[in-house]
Amino acid sequence: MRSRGRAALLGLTGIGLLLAGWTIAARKLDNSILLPPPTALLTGLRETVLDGTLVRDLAASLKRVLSGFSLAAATAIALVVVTVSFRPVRQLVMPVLALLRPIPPIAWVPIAILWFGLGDSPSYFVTAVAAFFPIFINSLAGVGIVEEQHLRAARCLGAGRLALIRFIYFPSALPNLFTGLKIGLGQAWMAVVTAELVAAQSGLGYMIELNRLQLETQRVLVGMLVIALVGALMTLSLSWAENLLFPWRQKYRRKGAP
Amino acid sequence: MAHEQLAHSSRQDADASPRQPLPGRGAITLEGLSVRFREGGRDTVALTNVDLAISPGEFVAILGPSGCGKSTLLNVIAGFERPSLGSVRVDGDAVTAPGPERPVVFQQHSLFPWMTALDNVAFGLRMAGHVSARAHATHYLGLVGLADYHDRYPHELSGGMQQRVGLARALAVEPSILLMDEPFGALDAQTRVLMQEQLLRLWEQWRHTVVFVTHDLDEAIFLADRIVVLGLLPNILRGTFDVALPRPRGRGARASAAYQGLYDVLFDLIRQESLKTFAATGTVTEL
Repeated sequence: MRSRGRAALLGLTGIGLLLAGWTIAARKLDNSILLPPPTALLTGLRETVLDGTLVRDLAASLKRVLSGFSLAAATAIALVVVTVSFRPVRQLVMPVLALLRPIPPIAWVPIAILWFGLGDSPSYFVTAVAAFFPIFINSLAGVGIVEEQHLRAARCLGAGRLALIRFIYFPSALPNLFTGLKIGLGQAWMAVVTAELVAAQSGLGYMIELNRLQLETQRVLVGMLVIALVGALMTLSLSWAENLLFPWRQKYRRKGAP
Repeated sequence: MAHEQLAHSSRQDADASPRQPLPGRGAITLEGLSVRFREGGRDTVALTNVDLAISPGEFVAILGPSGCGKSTLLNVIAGFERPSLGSVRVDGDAVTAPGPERPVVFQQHSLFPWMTALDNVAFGLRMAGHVSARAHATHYLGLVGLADYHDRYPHELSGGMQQRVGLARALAVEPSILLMDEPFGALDAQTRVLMQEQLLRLWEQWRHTVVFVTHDLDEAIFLADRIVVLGLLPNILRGTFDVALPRPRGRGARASAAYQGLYDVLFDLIRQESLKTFAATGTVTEL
């Protein structure tokens, strides 16, 4: 308990030092376009909330990230089921995926604009690409980590092939699948902002790019702050859901396993 | 009020006597059993030419130094592994796959971590399409004294409790044979003795066949009707010993002269077998 309080105190101190350093730097630089002081965040926040742009852009980004993420999750999980069930399919698709995986999501943006034009569609595509790989790779690894002893125990209690898949393979893979979803959502959130910088007419990425052009730096910073907060909130809530859904994993995690 | 509860619980206990396995079921016959593995490009011999007949209701301990193939013997009876030569029969039928008439209690970590204790115990019953799996499982969890822990997950239970749930899970399918692979080997000495006593109390009511693998002499003598000793290099059956201790056995059993006599005989035999690995290692280094 004491060490937790200490950690919280140090964490707050870190944020305080950042703000202090920022304030000093802004004062020395004395250029509100290059670096406005932290207090300008509050001004920017009030402006963007009052004129409704913040809510509108946040909603646009969330809609895109959820659509792209859902698309990726559905595709990745379906592909895992197929590759696990049919060995030749696995041998067929794995080299293709290994080739596509190193391409960063942002490198897909130009071709996505060519294919889908400006609007929501390129963002869906880029977000889905970003989320796909972590989900696919983690759930595939999850299928591999089933404990031989659990299979044996189930078989000697009368479980057949279908029962093994439903009651042993599936729950064994579930925590890894969830880890994949968690990482995938984080990747998708970063990718959507990237895509919106160039390929959209709304969203938080678009908002910070537009305000850069209009030299409203305090609004750029508000956009960045909201991106950070929403991303952190997504990760935190999924970690919380993870502990709720897979209570037996907490013990492993505390021992340092993934 | 208290009296009413007492009356109720004693009525439950009356209902709680486990169903006996069908009389005469649970015979195991091994004939000329040999098991070889291919491991890292080399043939490893786990068992050579083992003949053994176990009668229905018999409690047999398989004893031997590590590496003697005692777990392999159990795995072959369970149907996890196939014999390279020879045959394994249960009540006359050749064993080809695992089945709920001979469930296994493993050494540790075999409970399904995503299921509560109750769901673990109910698993085999659900596989069999049992109509009241939950009620039945509750009863068996009660038999091992864990009724109050029905909604706990395995990681919330101690090692001993986990093994009791594992035992209840195997008993719940009402098998004619119970296969136990060093089930108490990972427990502390005190817990192990309590578990042995609990196992005997349950078995004395039930009288199913038990094959119990252990490397612990004391455990083998305390529990079994007959002890089968497996040797090392070659991994053959070294001998079988009847345990002439009266039942029911309690704490006093270990103090008797019969216990001490058998202990000394087995200790010397196992010691000779274990020494072979030391001798063999010595030969290798000399070469």
